Amino acid sequence: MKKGLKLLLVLLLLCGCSREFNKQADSQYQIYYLSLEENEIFSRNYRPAAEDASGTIKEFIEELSQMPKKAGYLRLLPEDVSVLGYEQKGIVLTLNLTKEYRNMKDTREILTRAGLVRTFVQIPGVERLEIQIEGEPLTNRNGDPVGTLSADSFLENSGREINAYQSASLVLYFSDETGSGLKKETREVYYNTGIPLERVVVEQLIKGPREEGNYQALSSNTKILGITTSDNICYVNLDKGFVDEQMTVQEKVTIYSLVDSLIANCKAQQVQISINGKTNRVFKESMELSKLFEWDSSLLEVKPDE
Amino acid sequence: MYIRSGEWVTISSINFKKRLYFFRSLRFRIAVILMVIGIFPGIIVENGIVNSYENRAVSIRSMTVRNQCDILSNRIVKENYMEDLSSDTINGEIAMLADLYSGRILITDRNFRVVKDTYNLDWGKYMISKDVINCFRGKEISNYDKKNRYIEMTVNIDDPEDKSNILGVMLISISTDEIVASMDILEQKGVLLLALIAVLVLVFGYLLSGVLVKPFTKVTRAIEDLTDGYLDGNISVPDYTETELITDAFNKMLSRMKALDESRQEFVSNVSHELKTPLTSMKVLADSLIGQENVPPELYQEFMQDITEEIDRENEIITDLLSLVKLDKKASDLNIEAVDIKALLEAILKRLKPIADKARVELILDSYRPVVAEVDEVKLSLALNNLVENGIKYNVEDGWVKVTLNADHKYFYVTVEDSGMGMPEEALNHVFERFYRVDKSHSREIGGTGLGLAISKSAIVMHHGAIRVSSKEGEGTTFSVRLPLIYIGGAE
Repeated sequence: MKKGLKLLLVLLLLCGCSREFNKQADSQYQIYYLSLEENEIFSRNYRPAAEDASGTIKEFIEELSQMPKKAGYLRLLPEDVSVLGYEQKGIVLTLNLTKEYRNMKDTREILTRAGLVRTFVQIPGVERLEIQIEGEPLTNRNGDPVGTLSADSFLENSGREINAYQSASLVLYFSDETGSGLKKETREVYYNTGIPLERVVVEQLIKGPREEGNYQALSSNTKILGITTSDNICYVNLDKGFVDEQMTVQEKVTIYSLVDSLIANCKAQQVQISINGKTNRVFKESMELSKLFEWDSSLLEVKPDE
Repeated sequence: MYIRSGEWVTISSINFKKRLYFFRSLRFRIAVILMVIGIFPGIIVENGIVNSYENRAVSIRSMTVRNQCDILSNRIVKENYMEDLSSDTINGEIAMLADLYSGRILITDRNFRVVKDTYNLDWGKYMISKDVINCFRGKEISNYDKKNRYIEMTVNIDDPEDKSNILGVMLISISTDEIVASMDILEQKGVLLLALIAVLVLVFGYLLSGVLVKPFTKVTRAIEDLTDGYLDGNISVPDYTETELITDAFNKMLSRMKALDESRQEFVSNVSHELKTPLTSMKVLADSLIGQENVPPELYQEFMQDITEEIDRENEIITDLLSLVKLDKKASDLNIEAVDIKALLEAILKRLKPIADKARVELILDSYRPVVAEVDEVKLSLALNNLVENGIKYNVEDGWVKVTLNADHKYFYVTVEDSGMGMPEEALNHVFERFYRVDKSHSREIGGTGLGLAISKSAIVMHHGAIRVSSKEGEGTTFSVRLPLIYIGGAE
């Protein structure tokens, strides 16, 4: 009996260990390959020897021209394509490739493109990738430039979580022409039920208005760090993008666009805004963020028929 | 023994053994078999129906949607939607289709860019899903993902004139929650029905098993009644062929036991009678000596001689009885060894020669081939000796006794034929019985105990052999003995 218990303990410990290993493996880098049928991309764990970002970039470029270690996979770049050079500007990495890149079939090219982006955006400091062919920007079939790409630019599966999506009719408040009042816009939005509705509302505000005559009230560079609701108070944590960009709208309009939209759609009665987790700030010039904001209809335009 | 349903519940706590008894019973087994046969097919059918419903519903749903999408794809090409995405009718149709099947439609142009997403979530992204890439290469798919409950299909948007010119791909994901929901309902109903069936089967199984084993209970009760003495004669439970067979066998055993009992009673009375006869003679002789006075010594001598003869006779009877009792014991007492039967017969004839000479009977031995068999020499020689001795005793003057020996691959045969007085046909059935005498009046003068043939028969039966007798009055008697060459130790 005692022996059995001991064995169990050892097994449990082993389980714990293996999970630990997995975690470590997760923090590793991934190197991407194509399937033999050229219709899918695969990855394998990779631990770069270089410790800094630029060294890792070089190592990855080197790795691109290596044959996959496992049989049954193809390398991302065809053998006749080689990397001419690279350049990093801020968060954008530009990769210059030889003209043979254009000879690839469309279906392969898009996968190669996705693989390249996914490979390089893993490197800290690199968030977007631009591909150039002999110095010229990569273009689509109809000649439009592809531009810079991030990992978010690619979509792999759309159906798996279809049952998790539901549609909601959101009431959003955007700035009016003058930037001194709020205008109502209603839209149907599909969202994953795994995401809180509050977040969906703020994301839609950041995306901007769809109707003509309505104007962006929140900076499109705003990033949501976290949104939670408890006791009817919605805590919105945004990054510095919310404050930094110069907007043509009044600061009151920005704040109440957020507050009124949240209160109109969600359970919350009050909203607490923080920037990078701090509430003891003044938004732009006069708005004290330390207080809780409540519903304010004074900025709403009263339509003639209402 | 059986346990009635009501009793079982109360007894179970008290008597664990009786409970085990129930689980071992035929009734329990029949009940279990009935339940298994009743319930398992139900489960299989239920699962089969639910699964086939799922397959059918999914395939019908896929077919309808594909059909609609093909129409939509044609319209998209016709209205040049891929170039100009603002067509309200097409947008409306796409939205309607997505709504109708609670699904999501993504349209990817030939740059792999998502140009239309009914969820508005991934507009402008590049689609690198395997299915879409395959579709651009001309392979449309329709998959059902059971785990995540959705059907995914890809539809080409291609130039009707030039099929290889693929303008875009429509990726449709349809939730199958609805199908899963109706499947759940179906399953619930199925389970409910199954539960109902299970309850019915349980009840009927229990009752039916009781009815089915009832005749066996009847047999038991009849036998018990017989044992307790309430019932006399045969029992009869004709409900099943099986119970009829059991009762028939039982009745057979019963009648055999009765016969045995009768024969034992007869035997005892015979024995007493046979043992009493010499004693009575002795008593008469002794009494007459005592009753007379001045008896001359010659008379004493003569009477005492008679008494001695009677004692010898008594002794002979007791010896024979003892050997018969010994033979009645188990066959395991046999001392089996390979014996030359011809030599055995010769020895017997040699031993009996003086008696035969005295009775003026000729002994003939006919041996067709040498025979060596596995037998108990002492017992078999006793058996054959009795037969030959009988032939000599019940013979006529200048008669003969002929012994023949023959064999085949399995058995050897000994026949003892005599030219004697023979016996009536009705006696043939009884000659092997103990103390049976064909002619009771002559028994005294011929001698013997009346046990000889009974001893022969038991010795031969012990060897798994057989003995038959045929006779004709005034002409002679023939005893045929058949014995196996190789002794097979058997149950008896």
